[in-house]
Amino acid sequence: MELTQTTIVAKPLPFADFVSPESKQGQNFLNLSFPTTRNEYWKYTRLGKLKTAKLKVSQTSNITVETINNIVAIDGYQLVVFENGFLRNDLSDLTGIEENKMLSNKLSNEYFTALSDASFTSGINLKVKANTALTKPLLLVNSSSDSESISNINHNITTQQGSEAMVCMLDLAAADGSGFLNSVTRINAESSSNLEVVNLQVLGKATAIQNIYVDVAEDASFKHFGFSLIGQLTRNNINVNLNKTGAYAELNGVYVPSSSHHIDNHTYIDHIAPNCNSSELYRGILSNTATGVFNGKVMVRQAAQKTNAFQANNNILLSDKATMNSKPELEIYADDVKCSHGSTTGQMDKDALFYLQARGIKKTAAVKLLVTAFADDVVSRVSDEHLAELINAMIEKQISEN
Amino acid sequence: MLQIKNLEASIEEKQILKGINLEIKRGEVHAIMGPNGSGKSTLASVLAGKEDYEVTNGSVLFEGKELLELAPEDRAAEGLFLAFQYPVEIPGVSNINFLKTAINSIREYKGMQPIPAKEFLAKVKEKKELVELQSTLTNRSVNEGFSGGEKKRNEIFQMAMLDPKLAILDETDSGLDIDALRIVANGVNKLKTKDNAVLLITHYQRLLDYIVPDFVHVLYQGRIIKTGGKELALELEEKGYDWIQETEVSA
Repeated sequence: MELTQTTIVAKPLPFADFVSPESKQGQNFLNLSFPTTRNEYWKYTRLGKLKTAKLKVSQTSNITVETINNIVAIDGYQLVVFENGFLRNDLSDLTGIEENKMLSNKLSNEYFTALSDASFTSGINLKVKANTALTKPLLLVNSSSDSESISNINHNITTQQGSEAMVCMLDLAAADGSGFLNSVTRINAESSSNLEVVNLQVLGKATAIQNIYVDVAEDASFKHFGFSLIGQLTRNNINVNLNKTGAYAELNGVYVPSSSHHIDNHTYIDHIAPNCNSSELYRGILSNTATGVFNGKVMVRQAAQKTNAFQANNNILLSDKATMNSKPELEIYADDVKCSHGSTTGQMDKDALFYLQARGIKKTAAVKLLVTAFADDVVSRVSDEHLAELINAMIEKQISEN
Repeated sequence: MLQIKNLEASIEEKQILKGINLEIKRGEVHAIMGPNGSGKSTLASVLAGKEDYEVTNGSVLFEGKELLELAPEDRAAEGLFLAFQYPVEIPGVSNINFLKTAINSIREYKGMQPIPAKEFLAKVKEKKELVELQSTLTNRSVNEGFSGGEKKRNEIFQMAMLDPKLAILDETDSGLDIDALRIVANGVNKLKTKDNAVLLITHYQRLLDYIVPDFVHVLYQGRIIKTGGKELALELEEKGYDWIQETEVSA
C-alpha cells in the first residue's frame, strides 16, 4: 500500500506580523486562534473582513486640534492625542501622565487584548494620586487617520485611594478611513476612589475593537458611558470585577448605528465580594440595515451576598431592516441577592407619535423628540451637564441624518 | 366650520362608521352620545387623522379644506384639537418642551415666528390656572405618573395653550370625579367663544349638565340616528339606549 504524504501548511495567524515572537506576550498571542462566529463570544459579529485586511503600522499625522474641537470643545480639558497608535506629542499635554512604553505583563486569552499587549505602540499611564482630583478632566483621543493602519493602544489608569477623576475618551476615525483601532484600557479604581469614563465613538468606516478591564476596590465607584455614534464595525468589551465590599459599577451606553453599521457591546460584571451594587442601562436606536448586539453578563459569586445588580437593554428599530441581538445573562451562586434584567426591542411607540402629531408637531420632529428622550435617560446620567448636552446634540444629529 | 358628508371608515376591514353626516358651525357646541361600540371614538380618531383607520367613503370639510387629505399635524395646525380619551404618557419629554414645540410647529405652519419665551411663559401661567394644574406638573414628562384626572386636565390645558377652532373632547368625562369634572368643564366653558366650536363625545349625560350643548346626536351602529336639543340627552339618560334602539327598529 502506498502512502501519500500530505503537508498541512498552517495559515499564518492574522496580525502575527505585528507581534514580536520572542516575547512571552508574543508567544501567548501566537497560541491563540482568530475568533469566528462559531465562538459564542463572537456569535453575532463577523470579523472576516478584518481577518484578510492588509494593514500596516503607520505614523501618519493628519489630526489637528480643529478636528477634535469640531467634536468636543477641548476648552477645559487636558488633551492627550494618539494617532494611528502613536502619541502626538505636539498636541498633548502630559502633565501628570507618562507615556506607556512597556508591554503589559498580563497574558490575556482574549485575541485582541493579547494582540495589543504583544505589539502595542503606545498608551498612557495615568495615576491619580491618593485624595486628589484631576485639576482638569482628561480628553483622551484614540484616532485612526490612515485607512490602512493598525493602531494598537494600551492605556493604564489608576485612581488611588480617595481620588477622583473624569476621563472623556474620544475614539475617532476619518469618515472614509477603514483602519483598525485596537485598544486596551486597564483600570484600577482603588478604595474609595471615583472614576467616570465617557467614551464617544465616531469611527467612520474603521473597525474598532476595545477591551476594558476594571478592578473596583472597597467603596470605590466606577462609571462608564459608551456613546457609539458612527462605526462600520465596533466591538466594545467591558469587564468589571467588584473585588471588595461596597464597590460600585455603572455601565451605560447609547448606540445609534445607521446605514450598514454594526455595533456590539459585551459587558461582564463579576460580583466577587458581598455588598456591591452594579447597574447597567444600554439603549439602542437602529436605522437602515444596521445591526446591534448587546450581551450583558452578570456573575454573582457565592461570597457575594447582598448583591444588587440591575440591567436593562432597550432598543428602538427605526427600520424593518435593522436587527438587534440582545442577550442578558445572569449566573448567581449566592442566595441573598437582588438581581434584575430586562430587554426590549421594538418599533417607535405609534400612540406617542400620533399624540405629538395631533398637537401639530411634524412626524420627523416627533420621531426626533421621542428618540432623543429615549436616549436622554442614559445621557442625563453623565455628571458633566455640558458634555451631556453635547452628546444629546450629537445623537439628535445622527438620527436626523438617517 | 365642519361638514362631514357620508363618512365611512373601517379598521382591519371591519366597518365602523357607516355614513356619518354632521355639520358644526362656529359658536356651536355639539354632543355625540351613544352606547359602547357605536363608533364615537372612531369618529374622533378619524377626524384627528389616526392612521389605523381607513376612510372608505365620504368627505370632511374643515374651514373649506378637505381635512382627510391633511396629515394629523397639519389638521392640528389648521385649528383642530382632539382631547384624547386616553392621553399618552411620554417619558423624557417635558410638558413645557412639548407645548413649546407644538406651538412653534403650528406657528411655523402659519408662517409665523417662534413664540417669544416671555409670552410663552405668561401664557403657561395664565392657562394653567384655568384648569387648576399644579406648577410641578407642567415641568414633568408629558402625562407620566399623572392621575387620571390630572391627565384630563392636562388635555384641557393643552387645548387652552393651542387655542383651536374646533375642539373634539373624546370621553373627557370618563374616569373623573365630580370635582375634576367641574374643573374640566369650567375650563372648556371659559375657552368657548362665538368663533370656535366644541364637539363633545360622551357616554353619559353627566358632562352635559356642565357643558350645555346646542345639539345632541345619537350615534348607533356607525350612524347618527337621532338629533335633538339638550333635552334629548336627558331623555336618553332616563330611558337608556335601549329606547333609541327600539325607536330605530320600529322606525
